Amino acid sequence: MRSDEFARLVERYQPALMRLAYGMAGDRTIAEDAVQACWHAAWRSREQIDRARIRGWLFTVTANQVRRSLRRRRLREVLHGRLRPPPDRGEVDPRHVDLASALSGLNLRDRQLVALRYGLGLTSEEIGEHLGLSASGARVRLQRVLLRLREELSDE
Amino acid sequence: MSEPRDDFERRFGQRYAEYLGDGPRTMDTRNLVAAVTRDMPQRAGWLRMATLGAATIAAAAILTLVILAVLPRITGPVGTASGSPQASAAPDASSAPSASSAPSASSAPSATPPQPVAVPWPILAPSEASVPSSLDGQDFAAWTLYRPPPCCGSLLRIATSAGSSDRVIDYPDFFSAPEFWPTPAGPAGGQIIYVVTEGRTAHLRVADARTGADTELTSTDLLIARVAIDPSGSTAYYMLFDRPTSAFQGLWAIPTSGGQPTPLVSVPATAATATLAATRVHVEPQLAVSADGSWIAYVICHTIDCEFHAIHADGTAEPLDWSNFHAGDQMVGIAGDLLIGAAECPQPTCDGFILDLRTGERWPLGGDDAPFAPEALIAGPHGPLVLGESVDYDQGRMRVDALDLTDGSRSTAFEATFEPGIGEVHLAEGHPVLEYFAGADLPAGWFLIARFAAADGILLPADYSAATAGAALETRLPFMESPTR
Repeated sequence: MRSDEFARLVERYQPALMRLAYGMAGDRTIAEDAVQACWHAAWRSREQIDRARIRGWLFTVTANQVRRSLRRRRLREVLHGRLRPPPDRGEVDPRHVDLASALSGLNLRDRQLVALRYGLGLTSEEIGEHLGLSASGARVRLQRVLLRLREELSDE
Repeated sequence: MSEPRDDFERRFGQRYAEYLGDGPRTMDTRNLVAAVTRDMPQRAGWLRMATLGAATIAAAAILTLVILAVLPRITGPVGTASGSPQASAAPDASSAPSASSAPSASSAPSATPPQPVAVPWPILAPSEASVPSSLDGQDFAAWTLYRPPPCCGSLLRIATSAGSSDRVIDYPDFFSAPEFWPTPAGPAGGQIIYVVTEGRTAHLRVADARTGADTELTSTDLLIARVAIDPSGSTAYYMLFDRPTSAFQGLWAIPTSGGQPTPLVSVPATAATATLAATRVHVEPQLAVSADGSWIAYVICHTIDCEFHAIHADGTAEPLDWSNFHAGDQMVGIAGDLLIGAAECPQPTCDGFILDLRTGERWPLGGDDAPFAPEALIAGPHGPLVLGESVDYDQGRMRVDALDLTDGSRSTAFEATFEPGIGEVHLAEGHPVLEYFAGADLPAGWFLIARFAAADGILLPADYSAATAGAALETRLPFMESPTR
């Protein structure tokens, strides 16, 4: 893969990867770092990546980077086993505070599911393929997540 | 393809799109491409860091040097991890497949001796164990599973400290070749249980680290989702699931010397397990065997809840309510009748928990004032020790705390420093989150440490060492290092 081909790849997928990463992390810095790490890994692995599966590869690597980053952020807050206040949500637009709060109550896999569905517009078939679920399985799981979000977002 | 949506889903979708639209900044992809294709060494936040200016970076470097120079005098010369394996704490590390002798520290990292404290959970009776002062002359087995970035497959190394066997099983093709999944179990009695999942077939295998023997125990078209081994190394346990439906297909046992697998928990067999056979959207199973082999605990978590069961090694079980195990909880280990678990929470530090397998009661491990996040369970000099790590990534400091289950006391077991962005230090064994795994049947009082180094933008385990709780001894284990490709 030449650098111009890589540039086209970045142009094409960068917005989607940012939406996925931000949807999972709820944090701009972590999202940016995760996507940057993904592109770096993609460039380093450019000869090994199956072009036909590039989208799934990028999504997977980005999601894994988000997981690692979130774990690091959690551990970074910890020194000598003492509890410190949770990170503030100052960067969240006031209009989205309740939504961000509801999303933060989901586990990472469910946030990934929500991001794939509502951030990237993937179908249940595509989500299932990405997460190793059947299409019906993805739908059922999404409905459970929506039920939980509906309870959290009381104004809905 | 469009799918039907109800009102809430439609409104949620709109709000979520606005939320994402207001969140991520637009990034200059030209700069991103230029930086990546120039093969810039990637570190956390490197692109943003580049904008901070040389002065800031230089100041940080100076500060780091000062910290590295001063810290050993404060905490005891426990170790400094850098990006290169050569910079390990152990100065006398050799390339021979044996444990290099204890090198580094001269004083215990904990200034104050541990004091017994009142804890709500039932403490365990002390059991004295001999803790060797060094690993010289000790013969123990170990394995490491090396999973580099998703281009290169996996490497499983099985070795002993005495060098009687050192073999590497390599599956280099990420896309089509077999995978070592799930995570291996052991060593116990020198035996390591591992699974090769190849297409739709899972092969359960046992490797003897000392003789080098490698035997297939059984294979199945079902999914082997978790494996465990009893402390003597004589019996392997594994959980089976149906591939299309994710329905539980039983907990099975098989002698590691060979023989027929037998179901410890059949499905469907009893009312208690019938629900487990139902089709699942998504399952996250866990499996653990107690340190004395008398308990086997297994968990099947799905989207928002978990089914937890604990049985005796003969397959019998008490009819208890196990609703105290929650989605997000992770089993760390079982000592006596107590299961030690880690939990998920929105706070930076999540308190672990203890679950009494006789009663189903659950208690917080450290409590609100002093939460303790457990990551490993080892044998200590007076009884089981729970280990938890604390990491300050900004300062490049890592600490392992030990909680004594015989009296509730806590003490510092290990401290190390590392260069932020270049390397990291972590507890290696049984780490529930990190993508790299290792196991070693170290003698009582010793535990595994992994030093990670940045490579290709991702932190990889560069070398391993063993440390003693409280004695500040650390021994590098070069025979566990991942082979170079």
